[in-house]
Amino acid sequence: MSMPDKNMDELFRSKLEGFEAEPSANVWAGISKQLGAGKRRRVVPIWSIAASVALFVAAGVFFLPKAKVQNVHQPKNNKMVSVVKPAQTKVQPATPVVKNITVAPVQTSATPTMQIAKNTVKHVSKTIGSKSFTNKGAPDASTQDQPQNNTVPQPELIAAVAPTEKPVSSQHVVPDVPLLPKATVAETPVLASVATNSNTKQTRKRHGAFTLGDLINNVVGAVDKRADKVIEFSDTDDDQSTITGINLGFVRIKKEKK
Amino acid sequence: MIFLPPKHISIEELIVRCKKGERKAQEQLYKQFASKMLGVCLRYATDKMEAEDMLQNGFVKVFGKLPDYRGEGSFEGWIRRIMVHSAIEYYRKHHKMLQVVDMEESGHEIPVNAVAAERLDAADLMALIQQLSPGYRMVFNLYALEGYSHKEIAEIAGITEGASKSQLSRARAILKEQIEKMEGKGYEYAR
Repeated sequence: MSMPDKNMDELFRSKLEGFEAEPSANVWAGISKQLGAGKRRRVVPIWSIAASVALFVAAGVFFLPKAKVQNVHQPKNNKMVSVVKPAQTKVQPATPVVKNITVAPVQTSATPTMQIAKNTVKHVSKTIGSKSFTNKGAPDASTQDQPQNNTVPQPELIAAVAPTEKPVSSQHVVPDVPLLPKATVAETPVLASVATNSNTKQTRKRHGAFTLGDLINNVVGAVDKRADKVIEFSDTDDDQSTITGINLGFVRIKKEKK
Repeated sequence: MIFLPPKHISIEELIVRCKKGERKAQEQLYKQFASKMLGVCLRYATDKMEAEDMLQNGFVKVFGKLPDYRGEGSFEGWIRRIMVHSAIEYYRKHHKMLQVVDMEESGHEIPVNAVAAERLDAADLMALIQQLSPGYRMVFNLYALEGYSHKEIAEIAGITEGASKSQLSRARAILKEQIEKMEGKGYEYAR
């Protein structure tokens, strides 16, 4: 008996219908390759977004027009203001470096300083250049305490203002801050808190540019609270920021400034 | 939003993710259908290696055409159609299509013991098919196994309807011969 064609067709069809065989591993590899770069499913990159936002906010906060800087910074950070003031009053002639400031690390109480600061701010913002004015503006005891204060002529104050401001910084409102102890020669600018740094820079170089280095210093300062930041910038010459310090824990590099 | 292990995902969700190009989902889809589709490709190929090439090309096409799949009809059937077309395309690229002249049907019917034939398992039948020369094999597959008409086969395979018919008939004849031979062996063992 012969099998009708139809039946044979059906025979093959039914038996081969579910026929399965295991493909070799390289088949998928080949497919994947031909599909090209695929997309990895991932959760919304929350941390990336958060980091970006934080960065932009920080940048926005610090990246403000020079003219307004001091005023703006005042409410934000009294210490910056006070920094300015003390610098002016104290003034060490010429040498921008802190080391000259043999200021007794007088810890003025915060309050008076703050007041001072506030007063000063106004003056400061008005004219860094108006020495006498500033002097008047900084009436206070705290500054008067410094022997040096009176000795130094105003004009030089101004000049020195910028550099000295830097060292002041760091933690407290106290202008007289133990600059000296802290003042490691070179690092003064570097040691200064970021805020101070930026403020300083702005006061110093009225005509200078708020450089990328400053911006980075600001951001880094906000995050890295160590004395030596992960990376620090400062001016080596007008409007130019260069790296003056790197601190990666196991590697520390600091540029010595005169 | 975390990627869940496959068993928790419906086929619809899997398809959605594949459409987005998610590699993990695509791999999952492949794993789900690969074995079956390789079974399909084996019928059209000369050997397993060739079948795997067809499988690979087929899946690349599947992912490429996924946007066009709108959920109508069986998804597996949709994949299978693509696979068959891919197999044919591969075959045409790599084998010279035999120019088949319409042959007259061979007069005598080869007797095949239907009952005995039933005893042949899938592996046997697959082996038989693979012994056919590619042209016959293709047409037999398309007609007998996929269910295409001669007209459709002509379109897919790029041959005439007449050629399709004659190749089919030739294929059947050969298969029957082979089955017959196998039955002969089978009988020997059975004794």
